[in-house]
Amino acid sequence: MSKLLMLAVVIISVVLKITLFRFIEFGSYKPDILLIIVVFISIYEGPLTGASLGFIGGLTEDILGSGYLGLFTVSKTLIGFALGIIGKHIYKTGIYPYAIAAFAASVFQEFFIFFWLKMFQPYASFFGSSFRNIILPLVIYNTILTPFVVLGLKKIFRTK
Amino acid sequence: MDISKQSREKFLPSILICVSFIILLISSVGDYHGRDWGSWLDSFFLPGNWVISKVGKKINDVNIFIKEFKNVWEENQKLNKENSFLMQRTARITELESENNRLNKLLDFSSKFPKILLSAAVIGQDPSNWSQYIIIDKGGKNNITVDMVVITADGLAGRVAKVWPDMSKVQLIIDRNSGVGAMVQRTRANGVASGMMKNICEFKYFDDKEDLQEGDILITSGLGMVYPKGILIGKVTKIEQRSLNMSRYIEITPYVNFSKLEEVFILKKNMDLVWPEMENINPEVE
Repeated sequence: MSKLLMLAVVIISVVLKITLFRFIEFGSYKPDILLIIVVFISIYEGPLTGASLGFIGGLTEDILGSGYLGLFTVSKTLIGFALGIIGKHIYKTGIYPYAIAAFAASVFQEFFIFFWLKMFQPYASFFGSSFRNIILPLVIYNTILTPFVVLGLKKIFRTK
Repeated sequence: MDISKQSREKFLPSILICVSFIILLISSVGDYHGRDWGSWLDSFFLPGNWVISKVGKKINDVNIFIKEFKNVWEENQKLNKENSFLMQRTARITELESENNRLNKLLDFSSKFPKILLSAAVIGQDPSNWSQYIIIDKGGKNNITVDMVVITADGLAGRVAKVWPDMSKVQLIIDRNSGVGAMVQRTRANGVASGMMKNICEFKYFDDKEDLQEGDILITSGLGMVYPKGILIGKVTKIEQRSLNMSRYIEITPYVNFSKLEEVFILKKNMDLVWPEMENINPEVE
């Protein structure tokens, strides 16, 4: 896969997440297309590319976002690295491996954010309401979206 | 795979992970909103902001076009079905009337506060699901400064949290870290309207002896130096006794529909407001 194309896809997904996805929110949840892209590229390209794109995408998201700088950078870099290593040992054709990986990555990212916020903003983060209102819906949303996004990415990158 | 490639594949990602953890630690230890230490990052990212601003405006235009196109298409379908010239006219008049009503409402609202309101279009939102911010198309070039109050014709929306030359970031009152000095209009009980995400706020830090009822209207109290007194916040929609020794849980549903924000007004001067048509407050919020 072309490195430049991968970078362009990552940056475009962040820009679209900020500008376009507010029109296609589902129950006020914004899909994390960038996470699915990082999952897909990491599995295909390995830990170095996965972690690098996770770092760039996450940092862009953090700079444009309003939370702690580095929160998405750390989570997406770790996801890119871990799935890059795991990706060497899994079957890359089909959709289900990506959906399972996106599910695991979403769970990791949202729990990581929750526990980090819990450390620095204990007054603002309650597990019950955070799990019910943010973590669970987002994990389900990302997992359901993954097959569609992966099909699109396979066409863009012309992979099987 | 040779050893050098194998080690590079683990060594470089490890550096990236360490760097990102260091960034996160420095950011977290500082204040949640006080990212001024990283203002050099903002300067570095100015071209990115320009792109966001332009793309956001274009997408806004396209969205308006799609909405209008959708309306026309639906209208056309209806016409084909009913095959009636009269129906076409009626539908068009209804559409124009609704648009006219909306524009009149905005015009009427802005004319009630001459010279203190600046209108802005919403061009983006926070990428994270853990915070509630929007991006508007007015920035430093329009004399916008941090902590300016953002309202709509329905009530309080939030405050300006970050300013770039061409756009600004607005923290909505439903953000988990937002706290607005609030007052119950009927009893004058003071407290804080704190964001709860999911388009609701909680009324906190009030005297528990106060008589509060569902349907009570909350306005800004003017305490806290950011929000001027008298701006509509929302209506009490739920009161629950948490436990014997704890205060009540008071849920507020804001008058502003945050999922459909398209236009907002920025208060150029921080002055107390007497909200227009205070007695005819939006009855749709239940």
